[in-house]
Amino acid sequence: MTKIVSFVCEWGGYTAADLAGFRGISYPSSLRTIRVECTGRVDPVWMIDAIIAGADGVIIIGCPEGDSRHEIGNFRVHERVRWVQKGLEMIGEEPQQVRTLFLSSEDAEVFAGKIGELEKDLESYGPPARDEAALENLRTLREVFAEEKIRWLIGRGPDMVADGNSFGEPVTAEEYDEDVESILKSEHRRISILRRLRDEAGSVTDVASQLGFSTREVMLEISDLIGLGRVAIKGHEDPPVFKEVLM
Amino acid sequence: MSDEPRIGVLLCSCTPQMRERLDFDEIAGFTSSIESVVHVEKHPVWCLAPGLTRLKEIIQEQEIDRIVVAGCSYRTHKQIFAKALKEADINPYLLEIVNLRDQCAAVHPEGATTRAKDQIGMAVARTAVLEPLEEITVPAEQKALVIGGGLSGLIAAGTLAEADCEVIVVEREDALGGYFSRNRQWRLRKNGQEALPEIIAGVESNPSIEKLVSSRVTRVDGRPGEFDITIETPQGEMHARVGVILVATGSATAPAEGAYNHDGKAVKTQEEFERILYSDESTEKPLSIVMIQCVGSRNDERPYCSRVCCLDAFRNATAAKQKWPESEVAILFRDLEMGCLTERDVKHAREAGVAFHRFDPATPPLVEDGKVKLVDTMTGKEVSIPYDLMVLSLGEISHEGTRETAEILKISTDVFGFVPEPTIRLRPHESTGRGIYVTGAAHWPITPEESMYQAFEMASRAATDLKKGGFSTRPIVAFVDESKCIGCRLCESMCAWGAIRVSEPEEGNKAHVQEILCKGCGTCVASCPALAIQAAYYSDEQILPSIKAAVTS
Ligand code: SF4
Ligand code: SF4
Repeated sequence: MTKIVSFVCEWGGYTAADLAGFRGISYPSSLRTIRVECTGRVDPVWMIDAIIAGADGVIIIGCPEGDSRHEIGNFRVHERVRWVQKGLEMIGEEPQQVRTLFLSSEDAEVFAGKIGELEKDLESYGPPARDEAALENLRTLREVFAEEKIRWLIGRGPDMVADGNSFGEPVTAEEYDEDVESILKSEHRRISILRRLRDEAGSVTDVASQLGFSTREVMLEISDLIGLGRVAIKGHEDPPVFKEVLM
Repeated sequence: MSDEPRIGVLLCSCTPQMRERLDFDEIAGFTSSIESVVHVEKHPVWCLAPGLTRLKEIIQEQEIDRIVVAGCSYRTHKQIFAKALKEADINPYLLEIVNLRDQCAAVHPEGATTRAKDQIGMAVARTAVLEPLEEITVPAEQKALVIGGGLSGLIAAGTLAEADCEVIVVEREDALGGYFSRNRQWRLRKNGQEALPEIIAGVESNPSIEKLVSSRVTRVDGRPGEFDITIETPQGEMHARVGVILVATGSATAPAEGAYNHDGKAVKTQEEFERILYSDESTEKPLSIVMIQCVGSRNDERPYCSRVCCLDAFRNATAAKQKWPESEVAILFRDLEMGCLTERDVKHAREAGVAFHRFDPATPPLVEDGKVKLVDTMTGKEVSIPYDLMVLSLGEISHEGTRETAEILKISTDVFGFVPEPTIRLRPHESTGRGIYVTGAAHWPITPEESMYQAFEMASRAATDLKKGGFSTRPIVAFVDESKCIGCRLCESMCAWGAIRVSEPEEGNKAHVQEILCKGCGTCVASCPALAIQAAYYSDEQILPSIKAAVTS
């Protein structure tokens, strides 16, 4: 059976859900709601956690833009969802399994309608692959969205596009998107390597062949990670083997 | 309290639909099987007195230390159960509510029981790791700052002083009285006009009100209850600590900008016209006066109606007819927006013989050979009015001082620079930020009567908050783990309430939450690159268990 996890804000989504009940408007019982103060609280990591936990779809339901009780929370979560969708696409997942819905607390019909729509869409995508490889990809993506660099960019991006970067240079929406996409990719590679070196040490060639990267890519990444103190050389083997430094 | 959580789950079955669509035996069986649940009990109405009494009994009997209620909405019922928990000596934040009624039974003819089980499982998982939280309260300095010494500000200051509060009034001009002491005296009506000097004198002679003219507030730090103010005065910079701030900075009349060849003589603004109309010295004696409404208003650039300019025209037209009985006075208007309590003004203008013509904004009045021509849309006829004085009704714009003050106080303005009331329909006269109250035309163009009653109201709200001794807020706020914070300042730009600030590098470069301002929205939390912030009651550790429990079957 399809399972949908929804993060609802107390003032928009939760209230609309209450009203749907009051008006007796039915919608799929596959929904499970998690109430938060404001959708601005919904972390990109949570969205991926829900998928890892077995949700087929995730929907974040908050107040309409410009009318958030908390002013800008919904706008911020919209940006996060955009990047989670791109991240999912990058690892071969259906991006639309995560979406947002912004509605006024009076829009009980819209609420019910959109849950129905999501369930239908999810059925049409078919059951998602949740084999070990897919799960590992998701867990890696989860870590990517907990990384400083990517969170900083997602947070700063919209303001950068509006006001220019820290050096006062203008940034176009396209440039910003390109930057995040390339950083998403490189962080994903980096985290995959880190995860590979977490429980078991490995050489550059091991890691490259196991993860399907070129040895050059892996070598560069590992030397960066050594510089950051996140990977260390283990023992005196030849070729050298590396292991993640647990913080 | 023992280390292991002891959760009690209350199942409620108050509606027929719940009894019909939910299999309570199955739900109770499932719920009892969850590790941290020590007691599950069904009751027809938990939220009424017998239910609440029973709740207290089972808390005692079963040594329950936290509760999940599966019944009605969290929005409507959290207070009821929080209160009951408090009475039973349990922290009211060790509570979660599942809405079986509106979010399960009422909406799912099929599958309601399955969803109910999952939602209860999710709530229990989260409740097991909830933490007790205490209400946040901060004391308030028993002193008020009023920014703006005009009509609204003076009334507010007087009202606060009457309530035994110390007051500082800061006025940017060199005397108290504001707009109405210099201009537009009609707006105060006859009695108001006489009242203004009295109001000024009352404030001038009041020893609990400190008056600072030719002064400006340049900086505001601190928090509600303890605002640290910097004021620039002719005698130099001054500092004060106040508990509340009232903004009474008013509005201003838009400039004529050459409309209808405005020259201040044959074409005057209403304000300029008033100088000859209400002056005994002026020898000007116009014979045919034409007033044009909505000049520069209700267009693309300034789409709003200023509400007071129609009233201006009515009262001035009536006064003109009384002062110069032989003159003709006509008002050319688009729509008449008279606001409330102005029936009398309409009646007076009509009785005085003022003529009215309505025009379509697509074809505004044209001036040709000393005549104003227009098609009167009420009669469909072309009208041509000779005039020797044309009077332009200009709209109101936000005052520069309002925009400046809003920036200093970090309160938001609308695109026109006014400070709107947050939810005007639901909670009119609600203060804009905690400890900050806006009154008068700083909100939007209003009549002096409205401004006066607003000043009374906002001042009494401010006084009430001060008299309570402090401000308090729910403990659902953000908190920072300083050891993780990298001082990147992203959180500052995420917070719409200015509640989180990063200290200067020499003070550690760490983020701090001003709890009294924090709304607990969590926008900073989910944005922090270093995962250094958490939100009480909605921390990652308190949400992740719900996510995991959401997908069981
Ligand atoms: S966003 Fe996080 S790391 Fe950055 S200053 Fe704020 S609390 Fe510190
Ligand atoms: S939780 Fe919201 S209100 Fe509180 S500091 Fe963070 S962004 Fe500001």
